[in-house]
Amino acid sequence: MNNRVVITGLGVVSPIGIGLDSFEKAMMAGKCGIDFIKAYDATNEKVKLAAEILDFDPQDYFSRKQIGRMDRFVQLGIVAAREAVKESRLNLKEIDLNYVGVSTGTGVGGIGTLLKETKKLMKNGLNYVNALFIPKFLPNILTGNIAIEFGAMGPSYSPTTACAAGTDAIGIAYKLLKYGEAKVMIAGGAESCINPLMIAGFTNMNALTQSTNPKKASMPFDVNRSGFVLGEGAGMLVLETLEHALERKANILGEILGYGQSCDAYHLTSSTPGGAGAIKSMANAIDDANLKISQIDSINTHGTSTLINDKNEVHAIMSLFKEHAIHLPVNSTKSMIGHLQGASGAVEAIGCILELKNQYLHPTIGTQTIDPDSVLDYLLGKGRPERLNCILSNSFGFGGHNSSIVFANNHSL
Amino acid sequence: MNILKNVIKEIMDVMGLSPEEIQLSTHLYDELDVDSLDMSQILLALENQYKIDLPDEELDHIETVEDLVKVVEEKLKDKEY
Repeated sequence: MNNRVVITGLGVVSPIGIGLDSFEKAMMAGKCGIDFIKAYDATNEKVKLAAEILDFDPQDYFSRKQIGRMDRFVQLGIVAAREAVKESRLNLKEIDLNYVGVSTGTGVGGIGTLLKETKKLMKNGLNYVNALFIPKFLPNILTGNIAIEFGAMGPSYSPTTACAAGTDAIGIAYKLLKYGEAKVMIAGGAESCINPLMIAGFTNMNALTQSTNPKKASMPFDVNRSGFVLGEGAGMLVLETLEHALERKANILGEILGYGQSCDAYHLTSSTPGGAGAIKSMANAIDDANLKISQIDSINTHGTSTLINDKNEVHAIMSLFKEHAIHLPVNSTKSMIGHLQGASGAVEAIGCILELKNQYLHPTIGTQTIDPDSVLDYLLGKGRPERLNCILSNSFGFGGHNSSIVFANNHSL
Repeated sequence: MNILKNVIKEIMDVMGLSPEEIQLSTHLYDELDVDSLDMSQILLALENQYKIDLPDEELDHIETVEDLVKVVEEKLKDKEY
């Protein structure tokens, strides 16, 4: 079985907008979602900036009891999933829910809950740890929550491949649909870990920027880039086999043509010099899509704004795409929303679908002076219209995980 | 009376309910839709508050708010001896 896989619903909760419409407008306009940290007092800390979702009130979406059962990453994920399912107009009462699955990625799951309960443990003892600690904290629990919400009894997965988890969750869902294991998949990623523990961990390994200028903090491919900005959010997609989507006359937003993965097998946190793993994941995705290199119209880069990632990613793009790289516009969504970790690939996937729909590429903001080692067309400061059939999106995670995925517009459907 | 008040408060906190929704005779599972995770939270909160043990086997005897109050009262009496 070799089904075509299409996208019929999108949902997003991001630092530049809750809901697809506000995210789309903000992304195309190049809005910056980065500001001084509000989650805790970071005034005297080295890292002062993050990309938080400040207007998200769980009471707008959940009962008090539900809120008590969910870490924030789950709340963000469910809100995004609800929007995606609503937009897809799936009639859950009419379809066979045994063939509806869920695949969501996260880097660290409910680490905010872990931190809170650890404080209670250290202060008061074992008996004061919340009875719901485990089902709130587990990284797979978003998948479980979404399955319960929609009654989805098909395949369920929760990749935790760090910053590649969102793309991997979508990639796994795509394969399940392609090979006939499911007919519908709700897939994406969610992350919410802007807390002192995570910031300290990333700061002490020199991964985060210590910039105090929100507009010039996340500056991928800039010669003065100094690390990423931690962000939070969730992105969810409804994926279906083409046959299933056509049968129910769904509004098809785009298609997934291919997915590729590789592992650096090199270092816990640094990518291979020259980006060998990234070359492989991109090549695998393009092969899977049955495309030629020249048919890729744009790349949504991993583009974190760290010294090593950006250098190796650009090197990988230049090595694989050769002369086509000169004509290949590339951008970084992280320049606007920071690094959403396990949700980044999912929110960026939504960005790609919106770009294909609008035939318009969003800008890379923040970046001023392109690193002379990394000369590509980055759409600095301003997006622009482009003829877009296929966009490749990259996500790379600690542990050496490299994931690439190819999205196409709906013109042939 | 205080025990009843505290039991109701813990149920309110866990279930996100208001006080008028909980009476002495209210059935925890049938009327309030309390599940095993809710019950674990309620029992743990009462254990910590009264410094008593409420092991899982006690659950067999608890169906209503009144049952829960009685179990707490009995455990407090045992503690006195």
